[in-house]
Parts: sequence; C-alpha cells; structure tokens
Amino acid sequence: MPDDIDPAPLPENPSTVAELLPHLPVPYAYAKQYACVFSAELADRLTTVQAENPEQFRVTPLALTDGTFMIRGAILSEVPNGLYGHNFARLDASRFDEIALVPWADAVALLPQPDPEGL
Amino acid sequence: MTAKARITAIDRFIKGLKEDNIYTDINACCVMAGWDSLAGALTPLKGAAPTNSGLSAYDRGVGITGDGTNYLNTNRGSSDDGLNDFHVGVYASSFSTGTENYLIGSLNNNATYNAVRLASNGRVYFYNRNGSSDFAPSVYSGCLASSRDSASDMGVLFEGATYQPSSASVGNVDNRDLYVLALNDRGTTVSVSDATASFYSIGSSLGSDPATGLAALDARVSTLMADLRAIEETGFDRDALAYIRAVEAADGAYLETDVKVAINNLVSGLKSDGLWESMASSCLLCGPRTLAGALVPLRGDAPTAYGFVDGDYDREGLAGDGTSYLDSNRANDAEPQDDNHNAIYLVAKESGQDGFEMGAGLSAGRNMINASVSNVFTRCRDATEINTGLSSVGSGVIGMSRSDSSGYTVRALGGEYSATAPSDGVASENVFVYCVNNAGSPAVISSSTLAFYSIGTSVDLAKLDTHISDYVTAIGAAL
Repeated sequence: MPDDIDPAPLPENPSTVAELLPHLPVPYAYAKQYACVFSAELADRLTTVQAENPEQFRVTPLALTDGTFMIRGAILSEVPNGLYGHNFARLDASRFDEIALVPWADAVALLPQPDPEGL
Repeated sequence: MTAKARITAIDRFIKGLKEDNIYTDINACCVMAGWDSLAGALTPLKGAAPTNSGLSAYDRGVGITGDGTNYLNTNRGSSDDGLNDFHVGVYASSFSTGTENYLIGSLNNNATYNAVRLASNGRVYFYNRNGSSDFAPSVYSGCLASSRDSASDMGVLFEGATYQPSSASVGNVDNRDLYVLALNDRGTTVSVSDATASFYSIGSSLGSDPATGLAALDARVSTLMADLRAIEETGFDRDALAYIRAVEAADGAYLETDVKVAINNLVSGLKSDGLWESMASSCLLCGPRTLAGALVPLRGDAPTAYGFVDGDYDREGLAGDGTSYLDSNRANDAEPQDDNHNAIYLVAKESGQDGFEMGAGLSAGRNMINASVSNVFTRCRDATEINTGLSSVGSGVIGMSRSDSSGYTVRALGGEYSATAPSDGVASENVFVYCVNNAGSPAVISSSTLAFYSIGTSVDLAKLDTHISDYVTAIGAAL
C-alpha cells in the first residue's frame, strides 16, 4: 500500500508567514486571500536581497498609508521551490513571524489611491 | 511526405528496441502519437488493445490528453508478468503534480502496487511490485518508468537518469489491469489525470539489467517522440520554431500541435505584413502552458515579473491584481520620438480601481494606454492625455502608433481614432505593462487580464490587430 500523502490542514486564520512555513507552498486559492504586511526595515531588506540577486521573478513592496508595506500573499504559492524560490531562500526565516498575513481586501484598502485622471 | 516520415520514425523505433534487446520484453504497448486519429493511437504496437472509457482529446504531435474523468484500460493484468520480472513505463508530453493523479497504475487486493503517481505533495512516485521511489520533478514531461529483474533489484527512470533504489518486491499479485491516466484501485477508478500521455509499455524486465534496459527505452521513446513532434513542425518559420523551443523549455512540457500552428501562423503573418521587425519587445501572454513560458519573449528581452504567480495565468491570459506588473525591460526611448508603438490585447478589463494597462513616464514624452471605465485614454510621446472616445468595454487589441511629430493613431477593440497631438519628447523609463513606470516605480497598477503586449516602432495597427486577434482566437479553439 502506498504511503498516503495527507498534508496537515491549512490554518484558517494564519497571523504570520511563520505559521505557514510547514505548509509551503500553499495553494494559490488559499494564498491569494492574504497580503503579507511588514515594516519598512523588512521592505528595505527585501529590496536589497533582490538587488543583489536579480531574478526574473521579483516583488515590489508597496507602501501602505499606515507606514507599513505589502506584497501579495499569492507569492506563498511559489515558495520555497517555485518561481520566487531563489530569493525566498536568501531571506532570514527567523523573521517570518514579523510578516503579518492580512486579508487581501484590508491591505488593498490601505494602498494610496491616485487619481488616474491626475497622472 | 509526413505520413512517410511518421512510418519511418516508427520503423526506426521498433528496430532500435530490437537492437537493444528489449523489444521482446514489451508485452503491452501503444504509441499514442503520430497517427491520424484516436483510433490509430489506440492500435497496440504489442499486446491487447486498450479500452477507452471516453477520452477524446487527441493530438498527433503529443498524444492523448486526459480530462480528469476518463482513462485507458490497458487490458494488461499486473500478474500477466512475473512478480520479479516486470516493467511499467509511460511517456508524458505534459503532466502536473499538486493534485493526486496517475500516469499509469494498478493497486491490487493484496496491496501490491504498480504505478507512476503524480502526488499532491508535488513529487513523482514510482511503484513496482510495491517497491517504491520518489523524486521532485524539474520538468513536466518525458519517459517515466520502472523495471525489476529480481526481488531486490528495481530500476527507475526519471528525467533521463536511472536509479536503483533499494526497494524489495512484496507479496503475490492478483491480476488487476493497469490503467493509463488513472489508478485502478482494486477495481475502482481513482485519481484520474489531465496529463498528456504519448506512449505506454508494460511487460517483463527490460533486459537483464534494469538501468541499462530503462536507459535504452528512454533513448528510443524520446527519439521517437521528438521525431513525431518535429514532423508536425515541417515548414515552420525558423523564428517560430526558436520561440516554441524556448517556451517548451520554460514550461518543462511540450505544446500541442494546434498551439504551435497558431504560433507559426502568427509569426509568419507578422513577417509577411512587415510587422515583425517593428516589434522590438513582445510577449504572448496566452498559449504557453505556464507563466514561465508566457514570459518567454516573442521579440526582444524577457520581461521581469513583479508579483505575478503561475495561478494568475490560465493559457488564455495573465490576470492582474492591482499590485503586480511587468517591466518589459524595453526603454521607452529605445525607439525614436516620432516612430513608436505600444499595444496590448485586453482579455478582461479590471473590475476595481482604474489602472493603466501600459506606460512609461509621468511628464513630457510619456506613453500610456488606459482602458478606463468606458473609454480608452492614451498618451504617445506626449504629456497631454487623449480621450479617444473609443470603447474600452470588451476584448481585443488596444494600441497606439506614432509615425510623425504631429499626431498618432489609436486602435481599440476594432475602432480607430486619429489623435492630433504633437510629440513633446520621449521619456526614458522602461515601459511597464499593467501600470505606468514612474521613475522606476509602478504607478496606477491595473487588474486587467492581458494576452499580449508589444513595444516598438510604428506599425499598421489594423494589421497587428488582425494577426493578434486571430492568434488569440486560435489559442481559444486549441485548448
């Protein structure tokens, strides 16, 4: 009889990326419900890692109106071995508990909303 | 000509198997590509004909594609070959992991298991008389097989290499038939696949050494499949072929013949209408199997993706989310101020915040395409925004082309507009897609779904529209 591959159920309301580490990669439909929200210091660190290791797939931390930064949670469907795996491996995993998982709509509501007509 | 070439390829394949002394070990086998019909593909090379539960998607270049419901019963029982003298193999032109599915398999009443399993954890599992081994795939196509010549000696073929895991056979087998594109689980069909199967073989140990026999099978089957695919590409444009090879390498799987024909028709058409050389940077964001394939450039440099993941891509377009975008890596000023085009194929307009579909710069000499709420707004080497009055509701090509300093032409979803808008410079930022590039940062990011973009010198937008629209239609029909 083959080994059953029955992954542990995904957390219903994960609060940080650290909680999802044992489950990565998580399904796209699950991951896209969230945004990863973090401090300006971590945003700088992420930008530096990517600048030092340019890959075809990157993220841009977007500034939120409350001073934090976000990237989309869907990235968690592509790590540790997917399209964003190389630079994910270069991040300090001990700080993943500083990256909050926020419902997507809540984070998007904090994006600055420029008026396209004015640009 | 092609029929003769296919016969030659099959003949060479059979002779090769015989030269390698493994032909007699094959007891049930179908070559499921290269024939004119599904019926031909299910005509056995050796052994009993398989029973088709209802599969209908057949492609002469790559084989039979599963539908997640139907499968083939090989009508070869697992104990028709010896417990310790057994091989099972498939050639898949495309497969996926992540959802439990099988390329071939049977699970017997006493739990003896023979299979190539594509598991939900992303790994490929091989079972041969219950002995097992598993691997993480780096490509999603190729020959996958196992062979056993003793109770303790099992070989596995995976991604062109052979392995001999320490994996003993187990128990007596009963006689469940092996299924292709599913698992026969003690009489119940489970874990049906949507992979594309091109070949299967079941029989006794491939020669006296599993590694040698599996390597020989791999070489012969892989050559046959490459020959059969190449025959379908006879007469293709050289640049179309180069693009197809690059996409297949990025996808890790092979494209269907109809998709390749659509690509070739597009490239040939663009060339015959004099558009190809004007397209300095372009991607087909529909057709390839994966996002990585879709970001292989048709022309120019590959874009850099910011935030997009494979789940955003469905072979008919790449869906934006209002935060993700592409850097085309093409500088807006790489083309002259008064000789420029930008174009996209809009599949579906954003439902949320209005965003720009493409652009560079926020001051003089800027470029911008904005499929806004109801109208298309543009800027082409000009800070002044133009409301073209052209509808943005629907799907199709939206582009702008400037060939002189006084104005430019806009085409959107079949309508055309002539903008009187003198050029006032040329912004130097790279052109971003799904937003506008503001000094290196994304601004006004769109959540539209796009199927194509192009940047270059001035073009005949009506002709570009015709070729891109025909391509998008052909892809929709092919999938």
